[in-house]
Amino acid sequence: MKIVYLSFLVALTLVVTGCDEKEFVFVGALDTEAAFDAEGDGTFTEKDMITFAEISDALEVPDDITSNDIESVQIELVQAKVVGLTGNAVNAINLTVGIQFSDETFPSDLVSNYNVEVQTANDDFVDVTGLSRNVVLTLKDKFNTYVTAIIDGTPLPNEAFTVTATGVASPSGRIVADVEVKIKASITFKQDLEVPFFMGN
Amino acid sequence: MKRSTLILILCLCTFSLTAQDIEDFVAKYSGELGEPYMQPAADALSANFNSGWFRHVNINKDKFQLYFGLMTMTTIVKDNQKTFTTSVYGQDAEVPTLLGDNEVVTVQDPSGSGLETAFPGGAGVTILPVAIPQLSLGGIAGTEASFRFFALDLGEDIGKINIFGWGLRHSVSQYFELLPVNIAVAYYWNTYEVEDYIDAKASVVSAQVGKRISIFDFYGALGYEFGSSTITYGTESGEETDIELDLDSENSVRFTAGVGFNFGPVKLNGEINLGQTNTFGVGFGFGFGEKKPE
Repeated sequence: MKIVYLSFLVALTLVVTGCDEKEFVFVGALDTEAAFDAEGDGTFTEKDMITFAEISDALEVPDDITSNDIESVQIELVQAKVVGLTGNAVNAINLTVGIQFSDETFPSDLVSNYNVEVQTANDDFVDVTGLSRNVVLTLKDKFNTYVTAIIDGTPLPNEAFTVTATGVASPSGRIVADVEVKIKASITFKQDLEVPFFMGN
Repeated sequence: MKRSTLILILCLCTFSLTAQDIEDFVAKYSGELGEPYMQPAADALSANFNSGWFRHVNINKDKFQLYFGLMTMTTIVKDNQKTFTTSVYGQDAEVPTLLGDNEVVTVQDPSGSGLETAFPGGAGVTILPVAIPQLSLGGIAGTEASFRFFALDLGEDIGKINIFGWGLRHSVSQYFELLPVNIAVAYYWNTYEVEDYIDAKASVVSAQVGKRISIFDFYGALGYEFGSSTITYGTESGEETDIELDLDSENSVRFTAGVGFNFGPVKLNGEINLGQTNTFGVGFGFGFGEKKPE
């Protein structure tokens, strides 16, 4: 029996010592979320600041990568959820979402007057369409810069950007709701791994 | 940061990978796409564990026989196990599975919104080998029991690996003395656990036929296999979340053909298994008390 176990260990050793270092590309999540307490007669406007600390927490990458390992950042999806609270009298709102970066004076509209139905807390987020291409591409560039700075350990201010949500009741009525806007992004990065001969082909 | 050990699905031998490396492959898949991404790896693992259980069909009716050896099983990854089709931005996209090429596939929103989704690449696996020791004891009422066992503690980063399997087979040909070949029926069961991350089970029922000629044992089988895996891994996006996937193997009918070589107590064998997932195996070991050729 010892011979068999010895053979087994020899086989394992051969595989492990036969490892090559190969480059792999991975995808990590980078989702940020803004939340608003919406309340108003027919309309509301609220802001939520996204901090660098929040972005750093959302960044799903290994601890040992460097900014040179980053290949790209993608903005994958923008989603929204409107949950009606006690006193809410509307079935839907036309939502305008603005993004204002810390170096800008005014927000730019990511989406304008997107009709979102009022949901219950258990419902899923709905995908938001009709996005501004320019703002999406700016977000992509900014996220790339932010991620690089975070990974490099560059000192950063508190605020990364502010999300502004403006809602108009559809049809008119009193709005009392929790509004959430999610920006789903991802980061691709490379990493060298020691793998057996049958992997990384 | 909690890290899990998912790539161990791929092979028992990838001990040089840390758990941190491993979760990178699957970190993106916290949702429903985790299943098609990992199902082919679960199928391959199941097919490997359902292979290599026997190397002849000569079960003594009432004389003790013993075999212990090392069996290596290798899945040949088919092209259709390397990709799956999903839908994004209203269009279909063919993207890698865990066994697929290590190339990230990026799909852009055709509406021109600037949105784009990146799908992770696979581990670039062309074959998937597994090796495991096995013990078979037979010769009581034409019945043989087989066992596989392996346990290893790889420390806190990966944890404990436990593999256990057992099987029973019974000679049918002992009731029909004039049959020109040996026939047996069998059931084999395996479990494979890695700490709290992987809990995989595989089983197969088979009808076996074989004949010993000189030093050769020619054997074949028709089997039906089952497999299921529960895979738990962590994702960390804002807050840490454990994802649990239940994967039922898509494997079903399989055909086995093999040949064993008997050099006294030294036994060698090779076999091929054809089914939903194809595997080949090579075994080496020592056997005592087996029937002599007629």
